[in-house]
Amino acid sequence: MTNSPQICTRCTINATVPQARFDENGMCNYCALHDEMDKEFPLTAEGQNNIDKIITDIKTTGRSKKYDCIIGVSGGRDSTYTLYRAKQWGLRPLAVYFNDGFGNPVAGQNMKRATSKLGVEMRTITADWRESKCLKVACLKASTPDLNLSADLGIASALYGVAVAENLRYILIGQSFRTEGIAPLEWNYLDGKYLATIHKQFGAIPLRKWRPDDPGFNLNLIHMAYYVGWRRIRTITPLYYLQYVRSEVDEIITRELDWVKPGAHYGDDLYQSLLSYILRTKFKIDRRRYNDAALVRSGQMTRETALKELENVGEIEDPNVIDLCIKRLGLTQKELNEILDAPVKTFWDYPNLMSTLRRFSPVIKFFSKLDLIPKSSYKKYCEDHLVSPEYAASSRERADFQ
Amino acid sequence: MIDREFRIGMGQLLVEGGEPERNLERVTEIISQSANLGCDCLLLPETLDLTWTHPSAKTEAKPIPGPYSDIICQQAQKHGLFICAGLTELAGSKVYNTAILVNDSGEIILKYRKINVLDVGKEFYAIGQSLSVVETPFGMVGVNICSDNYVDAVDIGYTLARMGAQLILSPSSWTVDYNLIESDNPYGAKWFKPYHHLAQMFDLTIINASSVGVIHGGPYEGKKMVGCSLAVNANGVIVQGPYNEFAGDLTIANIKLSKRLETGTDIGTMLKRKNGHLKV
Repeated sequence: MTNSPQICTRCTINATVPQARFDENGMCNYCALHDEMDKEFPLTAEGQNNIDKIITDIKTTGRSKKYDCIIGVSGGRDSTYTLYRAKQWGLRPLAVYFNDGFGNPVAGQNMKRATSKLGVEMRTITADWRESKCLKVACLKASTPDLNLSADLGIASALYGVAVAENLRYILIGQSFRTEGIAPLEWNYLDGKYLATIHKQFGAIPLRKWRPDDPGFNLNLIHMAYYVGWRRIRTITPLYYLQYVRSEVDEIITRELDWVKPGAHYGDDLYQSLLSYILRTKFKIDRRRYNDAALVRSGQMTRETALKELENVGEIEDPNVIDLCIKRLGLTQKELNEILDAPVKTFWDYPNLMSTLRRFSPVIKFFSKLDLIPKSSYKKYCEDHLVSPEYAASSRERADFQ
Repeated sequence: MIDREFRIGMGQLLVEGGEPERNLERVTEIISQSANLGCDCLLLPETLDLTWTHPSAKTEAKPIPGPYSDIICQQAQKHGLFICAGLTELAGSKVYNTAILVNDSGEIILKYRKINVLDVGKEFYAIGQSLSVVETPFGMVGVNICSDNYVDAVDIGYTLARMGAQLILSPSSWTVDYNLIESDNPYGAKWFKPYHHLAQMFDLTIINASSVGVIHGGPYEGKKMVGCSLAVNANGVIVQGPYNEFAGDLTIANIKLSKRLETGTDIGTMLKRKNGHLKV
């Protein structure tokens, strides 16, 4: 008989989750990080004042412009609701969708209906499918869990690119730590140098060069410095300031915007089906472990229900959509088997920006205080919550030495 | 022939390369939607089953009549409307880029195989060998496909017009580069020019429905389709579909076709009078 891994007494994080640590009450460090974020973004009058001030700033800064901010949209719940609230606040957003060739048609209809009903203009930034496909396959071959690294980075760079093209300083993204949770670094890591390395090692075609208003898949440190430091483009996560209850939001956007749920969480992106399947079968990762943990912490799901759901394969793993993804990438069964059989790696196995980010953490902290970078990103990459104590100590030593 | 106004839906269908079941599911939805909105006729895009120049054309094409055209025929009968749609047709050892016109009883009343096949399409599609028109309750209808209306292929439209077409229906897959955005004019005068020329010369109406979606696979990888379907008559644009690359759309127009006065050799005289023949 084998011992079951320790499970947090409050959420669903267990000892198999990288860097999971438990206190004397059996509560995990991910819960501690959640509570810290909860204090920084209180759902009180103070939190309301903070978001009111941001809205005023957005309106003031964008007064003479056609739009006053950009909102990243995908047709999923979070971004649709963000768009809806932005209009209620009197903002004049430009909705930006990054099309990497795997959009769910149901989510596409949602975007069309929502922007039409709200009177919001759309801007679609389409990846060159040849680049998009090349990077997806390269990430598969890199054998790390960051299988959607190119899309995540492409979304960020597309938003920055449109901000430059339209001379706007505010980007709003529909992300909520209270419902999505915080992914372990080893399960979900994102930086431009890392993607560039993977492309260099496994990519089949060259990528187009960076341009401020057309960055493509390039978002290295120097590009970030340009967007954040020079252009002072701020990325705001409005849902952090709101009581964001999924079931209530579903009811609102269905009623007001004819929104249709595009399947499971992350279902707005067809590629998530293949991704979830590979994460589960090859990497033994179920993202619901940290997604549902957040819902449990915020009282939107019972711990028992969440743990019970983890016993079953996620609804997102639709075999037909998995087949579609494999076909669309042009992978043969042999190639797929080789990918599935390759030894598991993490971002630590490739050159990346982690040590640079840690070295410059005071600067990044400063930027996050100005909302130039989401606070959650600072906490994830620059604080010690999600790295091993040994790495935390060694990176502090390096910083002291310098 | 009934001389009356009719209601046509231009169905800008989202098509996914090599995914006929998913594409035909959306076909069924848009047929039902257009029937609910009172359309007499629905025009759908080119090769809507597999997507234009998708490599699956070589292995997945089906005969006409066949499983995919049967779905369209059944739906036409069920909802009582005419449907014109583009499919990938397997005929013996050849594959054609084909369009069918189905009447409201679910019968295929016209089948046309594309003639002006682009160079990049020739590895997938054989060249069609005939043109025809058919009488319908709305008027005499001719069918061609997408690049059959290129400015240097306008003789195809001329032939349909000479056969008496008052209306040309043209299932299409108009493609653009991936980096186009909503504020761009995707085609300039590329399509309007030959459409308007034909309409003016023969006092006919020409309508297309173009697909939407990213092109996955084949020689046009890296391009996309953004709709902006077009209905044109002698007076200019009647209606244009919206720009979209991720969601289908149904644009509806009420059309009354003009009577074609000239037939046979009168047409040559009429063309001389109008200084006909497009300057290419």
